[in-house]
Amino acid sequence: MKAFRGRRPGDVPREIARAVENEIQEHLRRRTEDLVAEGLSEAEARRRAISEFGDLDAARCELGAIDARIAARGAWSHVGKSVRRAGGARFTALLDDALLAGRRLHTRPGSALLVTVMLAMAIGLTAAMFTISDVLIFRPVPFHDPDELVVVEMPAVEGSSAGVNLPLTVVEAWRDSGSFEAVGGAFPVAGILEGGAEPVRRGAWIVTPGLVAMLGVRPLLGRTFVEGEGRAGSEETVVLSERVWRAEFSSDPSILGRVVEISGQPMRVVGVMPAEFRFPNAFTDLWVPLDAAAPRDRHRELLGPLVYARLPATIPRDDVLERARLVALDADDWADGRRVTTRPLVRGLDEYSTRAMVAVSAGVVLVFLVLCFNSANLLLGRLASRRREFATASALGASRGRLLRQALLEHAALGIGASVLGTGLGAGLLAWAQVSLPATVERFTLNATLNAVDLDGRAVLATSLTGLVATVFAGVLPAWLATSPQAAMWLRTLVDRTDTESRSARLFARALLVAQIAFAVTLLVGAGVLLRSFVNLMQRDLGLDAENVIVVDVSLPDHVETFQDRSGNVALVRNLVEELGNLAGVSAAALSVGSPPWAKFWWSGEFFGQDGLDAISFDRISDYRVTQTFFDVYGIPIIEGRAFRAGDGDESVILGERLARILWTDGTAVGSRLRSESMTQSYQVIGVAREIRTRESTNPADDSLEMYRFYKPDGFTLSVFGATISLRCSAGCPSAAALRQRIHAVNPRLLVGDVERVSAAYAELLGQPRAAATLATSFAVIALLTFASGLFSALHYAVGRRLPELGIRAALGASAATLGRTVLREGLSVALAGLACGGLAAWWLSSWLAAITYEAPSPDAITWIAVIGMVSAATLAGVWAPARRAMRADPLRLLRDQ
Amino acid sequence: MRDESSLLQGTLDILVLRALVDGPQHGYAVARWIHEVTDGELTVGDRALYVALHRADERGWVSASWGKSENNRRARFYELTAAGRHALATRSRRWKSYATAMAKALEGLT
Repeated sequence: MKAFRGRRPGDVPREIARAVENEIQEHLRRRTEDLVAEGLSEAEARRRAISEFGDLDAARCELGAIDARIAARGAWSHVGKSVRRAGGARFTALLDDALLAGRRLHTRPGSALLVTVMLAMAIGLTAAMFTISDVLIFRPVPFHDPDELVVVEMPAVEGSSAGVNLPLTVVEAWRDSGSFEAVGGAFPVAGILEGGAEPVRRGAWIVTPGLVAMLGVRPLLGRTFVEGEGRAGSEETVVLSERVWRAEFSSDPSILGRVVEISGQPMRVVGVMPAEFRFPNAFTDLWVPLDAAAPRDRHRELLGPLVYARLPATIPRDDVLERARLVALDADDWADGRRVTTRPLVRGLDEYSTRAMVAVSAGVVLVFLVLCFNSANLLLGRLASRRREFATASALGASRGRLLRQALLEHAALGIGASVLGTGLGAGLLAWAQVSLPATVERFTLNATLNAVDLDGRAVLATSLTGLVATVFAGVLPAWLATSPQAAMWLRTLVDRTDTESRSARLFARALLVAQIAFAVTLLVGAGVLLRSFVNLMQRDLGLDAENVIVVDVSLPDHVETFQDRSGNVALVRNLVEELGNLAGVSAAALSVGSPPWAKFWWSGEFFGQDGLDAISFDRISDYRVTQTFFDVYGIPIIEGRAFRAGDGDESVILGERLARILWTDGTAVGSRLRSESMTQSYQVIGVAREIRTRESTNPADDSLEMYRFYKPDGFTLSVFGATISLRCSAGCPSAAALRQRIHAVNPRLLVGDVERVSAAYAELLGQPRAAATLATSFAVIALLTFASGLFSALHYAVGRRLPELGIRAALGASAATLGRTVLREGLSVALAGLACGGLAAWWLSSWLAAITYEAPSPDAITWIAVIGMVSAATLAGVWAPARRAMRADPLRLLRDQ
Repeated sequence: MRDESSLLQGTLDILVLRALVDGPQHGYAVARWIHEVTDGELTVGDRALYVALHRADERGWVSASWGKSENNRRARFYELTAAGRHALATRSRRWKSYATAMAKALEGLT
């Protein structure tokens, strides 16, 4: 058995060799028994049986080879028969070549699989990454003539984000005066869609009828809105997204004309938008019409809409904006002192994300090229044996064209298989990215684009073609070398006469491997730092007690009379807080507009604090409106002054610690007045609350600043915007159904949103760092796998070339362990060099990463130990098979092959 | 194989197929059958016999499967297929006419 292992032909699978051996041994056993029965001794009988059989080793080889051919053919023969029947004689030769290619791949499933998987990974990853960068950075919005489409804003202060929402009077005036080629507005509203088992909250926008038409998008079913729709007294209508139509109405083709209930209001469905329509944002599922010409009173009281316009292409942009400013000024005093500015429909990525994106894309392209190179290298690792194979076939009379065609077919099949697999992988990655990237951080995610995120065909084509070229080149080369006399001469210049690799080729391969491992180490260390940062963020002190607090949004449908009935509304709010506070398990209840971590409104502009200090400009101060019990519910301590009391007036305010310290450097905030030109009144500071922090930001300086304004129990009214009820639970929190039931007992018309845990909302904020850490770790692991496969293919190639040398050394008495060590040493030297280079790069990278990580830990001992461990594992994985091949080098067979 | 009684090219295939006409057999049984029916005149090398059996399998003339033999040990059995019967018929016809021709040519010699 031992002798046999050395002689086993390389292509014979182990189970076939075992079956052949069993058959031979069974024959010898029977013959021995018969000879013993004839009177021979056991030993003599066995000796004779073996001698009668003939050359046992040769038999093993011959039978094994025949059986391997039979096994490989099994899967292909029926394909051949049916195609042959259909194709006729003309295709027979081509078909035979294809079948031969299939058999060849079948006999070496390991390397074929490795090449296919490496290439598929490269294609999928690159195509997905290209798609993401393309939709986020390069591709314009998917609407008609996108360059002329803009969002129109009227900021009061240069660069301020205030003035995003315009009064409807201005929009109306622009429309009537023809300031823009087309203009429309949109408001977000609470869209609670009823009809299924549970009411579902969907993104809903009220839009002026011409808005969708202005974008130049056709509905999938029915129509969009027509002029005059949405006017008071006219029938309420709605357009649905394809997503809602599919999920909630099972793509019912007779949906048009059906009446559905949205936020308590019956509406008739007039259209369904196509699946790829994302407007004004990716979460929008319902569109309701608003007639700007005859707006109902309620809209005038509320925030103005976001305004979208199409600029006339023939008039200079500055002239258009100046004229629009004059028209606005004429229509509404609000426009006094404001400029008209425009911005693109999508804010797009900020500078940092764009840079990160480009860096990641470049990394992916690098990994792609390396994977292609490794695949080709792995195929070329068989160059020597394949050349011999082709040379033999050529000597037996196979034409050159035929041999090239066979090689082409075999490797094209690999390339095509890889591109099919890669396309699937890419589509899967995109689908995964869309569901798993956090929706809360809109700027960074796939929700920041209005483009549909589908795998890009051009990227798939380009990467597949590159992969195909790499495999076909590596596959056809041996056939070309074997059949071309010039090639043989050319080959001699590359490879010296001892048939070993040239020095420069070996150096290049090594340098590439060192670069690969260095890249992997850099990424691993980076991923380690991001992971540590993520853990730090997770453990960050939030400044409040988010555990055991649940929140639920309540609002009133805007057609309910209580909206106008102030005293009724006040009573409703008071009842609501009392009722919910009395629920079993609830220890405190509060009502607020905005709840941590999200304020509903923000202030920006210049604020005045301490006397004698200049006004300080702020981008964003979170504005919470809270009842008395708010600070108890959230466990936010008041560190100076006091909390709200029943007798406090509307002008009372409590500031967050950081805001108070910025505005009053001498610590005299309590008792002073807070003034700002952005606010209509000044506020009396009665207390300073401990700073609350989010987990969204990786930098403490980015945390928002807070101010809490007081809403007296008799001053709090509900509106269509609603309010948030926060409940602190002492024991178990009440169920969503119980809450809903109790709220509806107070008033059945109240719209109830989802019941959420505050701790879960904070956990969601970790989405971005989690995604960053996951992404970096995935890339690092892919880079590591790339290195392992590259090391494997390089060593496989090197060992293949050096087999004669290894065989001679084995013949001269070198032990298998010595031979294995030679290969291992080669792998380790590459890994160590890579580790050193990667370490340096990582050290440089970590200082750069410090800018984007929270309390950024520089790579510590744990990170390094983990990285070294992973690199060692990858090195061993890459070295294992080639080292084993070297250890099994059989001198006799190798010398005979020579 | 012993040179003095080596088989003519193609003869072994016919013998192997013929051995399987009466039903599936394992390799050793095929070897014994050939030995017995030719009264030991034709000594077939075991290695050559197995190569012929496996080639027949590759050509689709026989199908091979593992089973239990008469003494309850695992053995590989070979069974004639329709293609094998057809090949046997063609080849034996050709062999007979060849043998007849040879016999005619050699008639009269002692």
